[in-house]
Amino acid sequence: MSELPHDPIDELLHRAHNAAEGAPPEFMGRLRARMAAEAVADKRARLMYIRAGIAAAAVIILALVIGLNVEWFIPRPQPVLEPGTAEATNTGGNSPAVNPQAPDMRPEPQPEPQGNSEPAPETPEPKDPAPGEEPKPEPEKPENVVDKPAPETPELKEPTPEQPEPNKPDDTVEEPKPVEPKEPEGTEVKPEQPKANAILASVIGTTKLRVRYDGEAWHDYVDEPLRDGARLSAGREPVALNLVDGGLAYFDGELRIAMEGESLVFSITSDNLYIDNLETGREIKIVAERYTAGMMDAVAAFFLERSEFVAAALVGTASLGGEGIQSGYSRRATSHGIGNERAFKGDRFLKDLPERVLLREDFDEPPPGGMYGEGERLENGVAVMDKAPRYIAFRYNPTLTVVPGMVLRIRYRTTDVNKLELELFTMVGLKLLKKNKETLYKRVFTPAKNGEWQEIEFEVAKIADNADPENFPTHGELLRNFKLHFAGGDKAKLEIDSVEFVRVQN
Amino acid sequence: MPDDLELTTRLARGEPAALDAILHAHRDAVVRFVRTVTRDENSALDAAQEAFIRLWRNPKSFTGGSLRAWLFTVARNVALNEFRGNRRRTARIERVAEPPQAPTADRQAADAERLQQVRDFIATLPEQERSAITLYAAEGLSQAEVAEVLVTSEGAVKQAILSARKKLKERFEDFS
Repeated sequence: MSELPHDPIDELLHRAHNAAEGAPPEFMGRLRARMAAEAVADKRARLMYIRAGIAAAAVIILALVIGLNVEWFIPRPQPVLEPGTAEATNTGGNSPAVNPQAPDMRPEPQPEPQGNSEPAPETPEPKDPAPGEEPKPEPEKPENVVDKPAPETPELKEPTPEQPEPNKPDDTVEEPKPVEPKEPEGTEVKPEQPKANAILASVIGTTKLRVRYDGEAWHDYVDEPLRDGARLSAGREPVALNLVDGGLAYFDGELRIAMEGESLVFSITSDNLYIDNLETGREIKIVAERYTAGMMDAVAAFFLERSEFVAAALVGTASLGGEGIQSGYSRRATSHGIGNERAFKGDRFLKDLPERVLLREDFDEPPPGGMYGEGERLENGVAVMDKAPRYIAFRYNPTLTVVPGMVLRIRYRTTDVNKLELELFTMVGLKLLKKNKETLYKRVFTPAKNGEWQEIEFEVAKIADNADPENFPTHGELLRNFKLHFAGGDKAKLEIDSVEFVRVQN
Repeated sequence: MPDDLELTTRLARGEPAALDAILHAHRDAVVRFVRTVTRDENSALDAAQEAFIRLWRNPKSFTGGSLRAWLFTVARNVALNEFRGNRRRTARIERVAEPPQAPTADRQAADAERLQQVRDFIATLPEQERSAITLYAAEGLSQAEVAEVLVTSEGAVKQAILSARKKLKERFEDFS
């Protein structure tokens, strides 16, 4: 695009702008003080990690030594078998067959003290299905939280060291798990570039689709990572994808996904594509025939039909052929060129959009950002608190950015509780030059049932500031923690099964 | 004079001189620009500081091009994200401190007053327009670089600049 011709008014602006004071003298001092403070903190953190690593290594080595001693040298009661009998050569009985393909973690045979030469009973190990045999389904966790088995009858999951922990099926954990680390604040402009052949997406749910890479034939998708250059063909139902930076894509028809420099590129062969990459910091290009659309930190939809390509910005801005598209508008590209912006009236394809999971905490293990540690405990995937200070709280890792359409969903159970107070604190900002107050968004509510699991949803944008009822969370604000207080009788108890932040596109 | 990429490479190696050179070259420009974005002195200084901190923490995140444009982009993003949450409380426009004036130079004082009026007027424009015209006319970035900083298309930048120019001309008809 050609540069604009010079205009004399620019000179006035130039003079005015550059006559303004630059950085004040104290700017450098404060900046250097902060750098020094961060450097010291980094050094301390590194030292702490090194110490923790050494301690962990020592514990592991100790455990291995003890384990090997137990395995090799401690006599165990064993059935005496005649060499050559079926029982002696075949693990048989209740012991599953050893998986010939699984890495054998057992120690090499060692000379043992006389009298202990009989083979030890095999420890159960994962079993591969025999040819022709139906594969044994992995233990399934229900997809919907509501259907999650009640925590009061938990399954005992205490795998022995020899038993690999069963994998969680992908479709049960709806929290996006980008395979590349994501800058948490979403404000960086130069995101990390995924390496060649990097995993760019994963499929949400169990929708049928086919996958193909260059030089290969199409194959049915089977729970596999989608790498750079993957061509995807949706079946009857549209397919939802978790993208590398935590974004969401939803498409029908056929497309190819690849990296081009720092941009994630979707090449559409047919039909429709919806993308939500708000606050991911990743530029996305959509190529359809000879047209190219673009978006960054936005929500947009793209439709390719009979050589006409339509791009619509739903939240934030997008572009088509270098022309900007404001939120709520679309542009159409045809053989005549790029059309003007028009109000976007929606499309059938966008009626059943999947939710984008921004954060999900199941309390199967401590949250990455940590619990507050005020006496709450995690029991079988449930956070439990039944004493002062009567709240359950955890920190995000490190922050959670407010986006339009954000919904908070809590599955909880109360006993002898008459009031609950939800608190969402914002990040203490960058106010180094003046005291900054964090904002506390708060909602008070009453549990509908006593002693029963229930689920409640809040539109985050409607949770008011505790200090200013006219103030609500806005796009870009950084939330730093979740806190749910409770009040009630002497035996008041709060249990939280899950906390989930999702983005819903209306 | 070392180029931007060389400076950030040296910064990554931990050379203090590289940091000094970067700060010396860009701190005033970044503060001035982000002040235009936020219209709030404290937010502007915080955002500018954060941009330099991010570069210092991870110099390799700058991969080429104009370092000043990169710093503008980061500072603006920080300012907008931080500012969104506080806009109700910082909506007022804070006047930037005047540079000291020579007491005898009446004409200089009048000129300074006029330039302040221009800055005040710029502060009333929509964010996209004031950022676009400032980056283009005052900081000398190309349309493409402005588009990169504002994360928008060149077409949108052009439109914003033209719109800002028109309003400036209407307000300062006798600018010459």
